[in-house]
Amino acid sequence: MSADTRVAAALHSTIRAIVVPQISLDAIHRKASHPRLSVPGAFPYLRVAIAAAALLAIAMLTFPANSSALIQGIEARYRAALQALGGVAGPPVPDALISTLRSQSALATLRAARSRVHFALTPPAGLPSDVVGRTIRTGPSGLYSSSTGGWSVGQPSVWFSYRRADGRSFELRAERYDPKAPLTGKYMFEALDEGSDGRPRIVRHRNVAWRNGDQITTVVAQGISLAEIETIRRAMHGLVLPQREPHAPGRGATSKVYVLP
Amino acid sequence: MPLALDSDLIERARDGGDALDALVAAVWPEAYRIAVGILRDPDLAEDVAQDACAAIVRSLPSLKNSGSFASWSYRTIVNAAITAARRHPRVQGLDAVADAVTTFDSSDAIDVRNALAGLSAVQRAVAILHYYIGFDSREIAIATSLPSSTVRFHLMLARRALRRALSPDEPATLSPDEVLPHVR
Repeated sequence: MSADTRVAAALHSTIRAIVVPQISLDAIHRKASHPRLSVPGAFPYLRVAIAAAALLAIAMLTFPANSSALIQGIEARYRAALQALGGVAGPPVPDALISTLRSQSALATLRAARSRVHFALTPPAGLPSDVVGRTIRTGPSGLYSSSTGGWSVGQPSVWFSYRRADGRSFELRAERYDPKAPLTGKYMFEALDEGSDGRPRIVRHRNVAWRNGDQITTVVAQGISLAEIETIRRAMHGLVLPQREPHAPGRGATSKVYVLP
Repeated sequence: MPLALDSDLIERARDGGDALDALVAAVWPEAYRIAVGILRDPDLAEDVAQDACAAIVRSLPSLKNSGSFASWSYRTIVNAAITAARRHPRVQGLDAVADAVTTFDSSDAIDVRNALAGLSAVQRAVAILHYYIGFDSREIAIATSLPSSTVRFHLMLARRALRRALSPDEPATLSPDEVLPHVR
């Protein structure tokens, strides 16, 4: 018997050995009429619309590193929802731009990262004690201006990726602070793979930002708690930046695209 | 997949009534056992299993393909358990399921149970989805709303812990080449 087969058999035996209490159909039907749990595959289009409105408002799009067809499919829904809300929807991210962003993304040491960016890089400090691995990567963002109607390659940013002992991971992104840029959004909306019903799965994460000199650091609260993020900010002596709630962006807004490393 | 149900029952359950109650009663043991396996807290697991069954009752009419009922139900159950684990972090890492909630254990099952205690709730969910339900990493990613790469990493850690529990001679670390192709 292979090790995996033995694990499966033992796990099966463990689960089946759990004694099940009497079912309470009344409790289940009562809960069914007062829902508090979302069901996979039942993602309502209205929520996609709200996510889309927030998406460009926070000037931030994240894409899983998979097919451009999937990315464009998700984008198409965002654009339609934005237009329905009266917001401004930019054109699809060109494949060539995504390829460019990916090709210019590279692993780096802290010293190399400092040499590639146009700001005084303040590295993260005060990290959780269970961090077991770190990767630094540099790469540019993509920018879309609704004024010019064109995409361009933006300035390089630095991604600090950390792995924790329990398997979770989180990332901090450092880039040049632009006082003219719109406020960062309070939330990051992540587009995951499509579900079995063909609809995109959207996950909302809290997004936190602070400033050190000419650097802005942003962290998405995924794989790390808000309290732990606050510890990092304090250790870096970062200045809290105001953020804004999601809303449909108006004409003249700039969209920024990051291809996650 | 352990949950095998008559498609005729699923179709009749869409109209509610006794068929719906029978369907929920058939799902209930799996919902509870999986919730306990992930949460390691029998009281919370019962509440979560009820929530998952309620969600199934509520959304069954919109399920297009009754053939996907089992995998859809498992996704709902695991999703509910992971959500509860995030809301109740105290349950993560508890090192025992009370003996009162289990019947006879084989030696391997005891070792596996102890190994599960050392995993996070998400890692337990990934291990249960893979080894008990039979999901591959892509299906687990959909069920847990985690990136596939994160699922593979959790599964690697869970597999390592479970194998070592059963075979103390198992190497302390497994190379990615040894593990990842199996779960892709």
